[in-house]
Amino acid sequence: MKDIASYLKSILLFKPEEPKTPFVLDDFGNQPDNSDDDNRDPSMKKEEKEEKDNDKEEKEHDSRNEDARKDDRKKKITKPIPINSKEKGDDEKENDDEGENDGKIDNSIDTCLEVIKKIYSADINGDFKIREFKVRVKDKVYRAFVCFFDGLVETSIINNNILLPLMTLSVMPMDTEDQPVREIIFDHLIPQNQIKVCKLYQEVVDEINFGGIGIFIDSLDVAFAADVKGWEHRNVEQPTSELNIRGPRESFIEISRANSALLRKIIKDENLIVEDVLVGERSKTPCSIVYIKNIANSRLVDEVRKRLKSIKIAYLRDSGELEQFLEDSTFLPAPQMLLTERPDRVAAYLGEGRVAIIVHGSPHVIVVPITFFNLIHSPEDYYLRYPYSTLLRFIRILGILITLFLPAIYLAITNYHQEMLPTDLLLAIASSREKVPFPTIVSIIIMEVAFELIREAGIRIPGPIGPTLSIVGGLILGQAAVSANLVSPFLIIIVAVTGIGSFAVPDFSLGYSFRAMRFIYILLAGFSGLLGISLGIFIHFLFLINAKSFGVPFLAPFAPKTTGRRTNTIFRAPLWKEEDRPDFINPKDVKQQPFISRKWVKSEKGVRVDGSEDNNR
Amino acid sequence: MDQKTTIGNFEAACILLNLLCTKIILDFPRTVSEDAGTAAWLMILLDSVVVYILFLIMTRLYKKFEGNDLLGVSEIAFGKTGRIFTGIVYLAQFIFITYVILRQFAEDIKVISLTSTPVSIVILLFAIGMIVGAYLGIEAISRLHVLAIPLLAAAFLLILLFNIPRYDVSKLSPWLGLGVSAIFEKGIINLSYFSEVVALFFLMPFLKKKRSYGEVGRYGIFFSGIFLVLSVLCYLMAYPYPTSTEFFLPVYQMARTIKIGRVFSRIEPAFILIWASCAFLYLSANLYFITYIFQRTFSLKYRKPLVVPFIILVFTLSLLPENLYSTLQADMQIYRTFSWIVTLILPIILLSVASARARIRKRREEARLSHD
Amino acid sequence: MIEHAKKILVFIIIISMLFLSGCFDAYEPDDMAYVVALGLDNGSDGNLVITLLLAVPIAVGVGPEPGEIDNATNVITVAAPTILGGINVINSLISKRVNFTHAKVIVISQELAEQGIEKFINTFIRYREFRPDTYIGITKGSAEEFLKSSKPVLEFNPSKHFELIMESFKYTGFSNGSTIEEFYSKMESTCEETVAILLDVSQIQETKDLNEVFQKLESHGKEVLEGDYKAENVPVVYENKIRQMGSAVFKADKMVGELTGLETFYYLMVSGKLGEIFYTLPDPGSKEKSTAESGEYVSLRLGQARKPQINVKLKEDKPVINVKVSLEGDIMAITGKNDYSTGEGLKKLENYASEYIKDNVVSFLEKTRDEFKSDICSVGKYVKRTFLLWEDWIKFNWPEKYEKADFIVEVNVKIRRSGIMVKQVPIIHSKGDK
Repeated sequence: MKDIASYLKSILLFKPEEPKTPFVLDDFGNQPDNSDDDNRDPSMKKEEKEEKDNDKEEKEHDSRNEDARKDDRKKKITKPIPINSKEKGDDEKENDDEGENDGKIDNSIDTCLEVIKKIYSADINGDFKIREFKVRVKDKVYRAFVCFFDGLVETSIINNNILLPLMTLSVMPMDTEDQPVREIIFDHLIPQNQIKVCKLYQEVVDEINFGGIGIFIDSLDVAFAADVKGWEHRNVEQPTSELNIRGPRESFIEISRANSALLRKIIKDENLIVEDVLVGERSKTPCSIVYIKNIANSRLVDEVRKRLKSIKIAYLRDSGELEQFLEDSTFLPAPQMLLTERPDRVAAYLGEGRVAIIVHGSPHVIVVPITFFNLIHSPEDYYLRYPYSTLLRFIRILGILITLFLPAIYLAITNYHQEMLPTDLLLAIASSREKVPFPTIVSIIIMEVAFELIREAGIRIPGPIGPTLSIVGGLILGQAAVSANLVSPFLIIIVAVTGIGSFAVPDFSLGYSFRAMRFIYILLAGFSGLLGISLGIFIHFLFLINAKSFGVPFLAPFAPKTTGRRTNTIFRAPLWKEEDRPDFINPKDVKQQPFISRKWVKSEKGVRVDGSEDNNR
Repeated sequence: MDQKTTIGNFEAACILLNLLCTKIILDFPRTVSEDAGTAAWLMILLDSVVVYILFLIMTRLYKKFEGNDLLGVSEIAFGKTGRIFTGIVYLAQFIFITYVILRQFAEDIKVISLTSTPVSIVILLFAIGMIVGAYLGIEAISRLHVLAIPLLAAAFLLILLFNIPRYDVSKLSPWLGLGVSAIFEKGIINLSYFSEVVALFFLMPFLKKKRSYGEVGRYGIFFSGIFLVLSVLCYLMAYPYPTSTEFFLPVYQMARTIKIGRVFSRIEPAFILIWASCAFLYLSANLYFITYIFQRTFSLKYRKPLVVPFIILVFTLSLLPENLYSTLQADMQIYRTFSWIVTLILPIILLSVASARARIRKRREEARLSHD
Repeated sequence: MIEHAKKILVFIIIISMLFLSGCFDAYEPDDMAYVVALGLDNGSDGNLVITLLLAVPIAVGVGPEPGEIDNATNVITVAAPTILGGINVINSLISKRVNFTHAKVIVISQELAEQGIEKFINTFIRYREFRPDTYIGITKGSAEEFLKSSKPVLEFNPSKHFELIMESFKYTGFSNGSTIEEFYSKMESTCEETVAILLDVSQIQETKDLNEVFQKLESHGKEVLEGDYKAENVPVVYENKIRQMGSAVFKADKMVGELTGLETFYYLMVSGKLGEIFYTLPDPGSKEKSTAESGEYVSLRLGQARKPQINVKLKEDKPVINVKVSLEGDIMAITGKNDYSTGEGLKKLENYASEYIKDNVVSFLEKTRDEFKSDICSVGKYVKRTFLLWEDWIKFNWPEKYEKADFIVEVNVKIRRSGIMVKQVPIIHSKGDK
């Protein structure tokens, strides 16, 4: 009896779980502070928050208080961190510096040498080089050393522009009797175009980390840091993902200065501002905010800056990661920023009043704010003549509709609404399905998944056969499946056309979003036919309409009916007609062209040869 | 509400157009032709003119209260109890019309295509759309209206256009149908078809320019009047009088007979897409209005938590009627007898009382000021 | 975390409820048997005999080679009191589910039609699967035999075969393409009556049997032009034994008579539904009474120039119906020696054609008035226009008034072109011939 009772108790009584202690890499006190106030929905221009944010903010407030309390509790429980341990966090560095002269550079070069060796663990680091030498200034010889990372610097510049003048130039006669040593060295002896005078060790360390060289001279309480970047990088090549026939074929590379140079080559405007922001604690990735000062809305720029500066992460490797930290809504099935590889495209968007973000180490540049229609424009649309590009846009939209809806509509019609098909077609479909064992929805999902697998695998097949193999292989596989009576031949056509349609989407990210939504539509269609598809469209469009990209509604010229011209959305207007910048971005200057931009259209006598008008006509 | 959500004029007009015209794709042409025979289009024309005039009267009376929705006006008129009473009346009206139309849509689609799915599942599908729409608020709903209504209107006109070979003007004769007295008598009751106009008065606080509600209302009523009359006219021209009272979905029937060549002849499932989109837009806007009226009547702070309880209420109510014809149509008959009073006469009463009160108050203020 | 768990749980419950309840209405296209034609006969004890002509998809489509299956169609018959009950019985024994969404024609036997088909039409209109543009035909014999004898010879697809046969009225003028929706509309209407397609199964086996057919027809006395017979007497020998010619006339919902092919042409002309027709006109220039021996005819292709203009005046309770029809056409062939291509000959031809057709139309209209007593040309709607109130129209009782109507017909034929030849030069015979 007792056994039965205890057995029943063990099954039926509720037992709370025991607290577990999983393996963590670090103690609690070392983790950087995660609760951040700034990453809430930003409030932008005309669009205001809804009540939802009111609710959410209240709940967030409560949960944040709770989290803060929990953190405080954790902090009280654990031990304090020893000062001299190897693992360093944010707090550590400051503690360290405080232990040594507030981080200021010492007069004595031996101290400096020791500090630098300790900071960089010079005995372990193989590529950290220190070169000691002597400088002669004003008839006195000072000891000096330079330190740099081998491989990040261009050694010829070091040799010719730093070591050579310091070691030899000092013998040249100069009119420098009454200047202090530091000024003599800074003004005359280091012919390098980017030099910074540093008082703190941290500044020198930051420069050395990114391809600089630190110059320490005895008896000076400052050090010099020169920029001698030179590392192996790609050349400017053709863009790999946004191919075109017309238009320039340069693409961005991984160096942010080279990218901003490519932009400045196109927009030769002194108002083009390139602001630097460092993102990431460890990686300290330099990002640049690029905008045209007297066109872009200053509140937009402020918002971009605020968001960038308030990101606290450890590593930032690529602009794709940055996009995910900046976007308004993580779970929306559509991207809210545009990533592009082409400088001409970015320059066009900058000219409209948008803001670009360049991330060092990534050949893709982020453009904000974006509407849905920008994602379906191809870079080539403006370089072609008006009739062709209108037709191309139309075909592209057809491709988008096909890739999103075609399998779902096929499923809905053949399973629920057979009366919609012409009788011949229906009998053909019915006869081709006679030998197929699976119901239509299962075969569609099998074929779609197989197609996606082939596409995904095709990315990794080396060489030029990759993309070809994916499509051709898909079709051949499909043909084999038909012969084996696994799927019906109509399905192969449907799936192939869908796949081809998905390549028509110019933006990579939007194409992925459509590929994912397609499955949801297939499920809805399999469940309730065309009613399910219309439910899916309704909810999908509601979410898209509600989305905002940096405060600009996502379906902007259509969704709130703005008063500006709606030319460049689905179809474009002839170039001489595009007088206004898109006004939902609120640029400072809306007119980009006068009403008549081709002055020669007036009669011959009205325009002189050099293009100026003759108003006396 | 701290933050102001605003919708533009065109968006409000599209919402009004959809609210008034969704009944075309339900059984509206059939019931009016039952009432007035072959002169049904004449009756609807007269009705829309009358509603237009009533709306002009209402805008005139509304001048003092711009920016206030109808509940605010009733508060000025009768105080807090007045507001609560008006709120309950309109809440009842909106809930009633929502559940009736929800059930009607579900039943209709069961007859058309999804014949063996249980009604509750079909209603559930509509309910999911309604929840999402009502959650995201009037801004998102109105923007979706702007995108969708021009397309839906064009598709509807296309259906009417493709039926042109079957139109025969002599099917509209005898011209006065069942008699002038029938037209006028039934005409008054059929003013209830325009009862969704009252939704405009609840949209007032959201409009950007306070003055533009008049324009929105006029355009909305004008265009919806055109669509209503056109639909009844074309339906009567395609099906002669006694037959026209028999089909339960007139526009569906007209869409069925479109035949352009052998291939393009059975496109009425495309009609289901149009139909379902209208349904979703209408129902989610209605659910938003229900929660909004409730929130405003009882001065609650948050609107979003109200969505789920009300959808459960509407869902349960819509499962109450037993079958398509008897209970549902009977409900609609009762509704139609009184709804025009509630939505067209009651606002006028409220507005006149409120303006009278305001005038009295102002005069008392002036008297007091001049006294001091 | 707990709130998230709750939300996710509710979401999962709803979604699984949707999906676990199954896809109720999803039917695979190869799980259905598509009916191409439906036949109704009179059975014993008040039963109906329902015949279904089913399409066999594998004979038509992409699967095994067409030709492996002999028959593109299958016939199945059931006896039951109601149509849909009978379909239920059939569903229980065949391997697929019967689906009417692609039914092209409904064939009812004449016996059944004369008893009134209102009860069946109701099923066809009310049941969603029947499309409104399904043709409706009456056959003299039994519908089952009709459906069994149909054999698509020129194509594989049986539904296309029926559809094209029924659609031929647009370019032959010998039948009317009456669909169930039109039929129903006109049947319920207070101002007009309806017709249906007349069908039959041919008994002629070989060409020499055609003489018997003509002997039967020539009992009337005048020449038998093309189309001047009904579906049972069509002089054609063909593998496919079904015939279509003429119309079945209804009053309310009962069949009261038949029209020949030519009379159907007049019917189409007066009601404004004419497509085009190759019309044979006896040669106006020949002096002999019966041109049958000389065989001189003029072949015209006629179509409608304008909609017919009908107006009705009431003279002491008797309607006087004025019909004005305009036709236009081309000369296709002239078998005689007279040349009518241009000038005076053309005028003579036009006048003669107008007179000839007018006589025929008047006799057709009088036939509808006296023999059938039904207003199939929808003259009543022109009368209805003059009324203001519905009760007055009902009190007027048009079907009664139609039986006393007088007809004044005016036909206007205009010949526009004469083919490729502008002139026809007579052949000079040698001395031996005449």
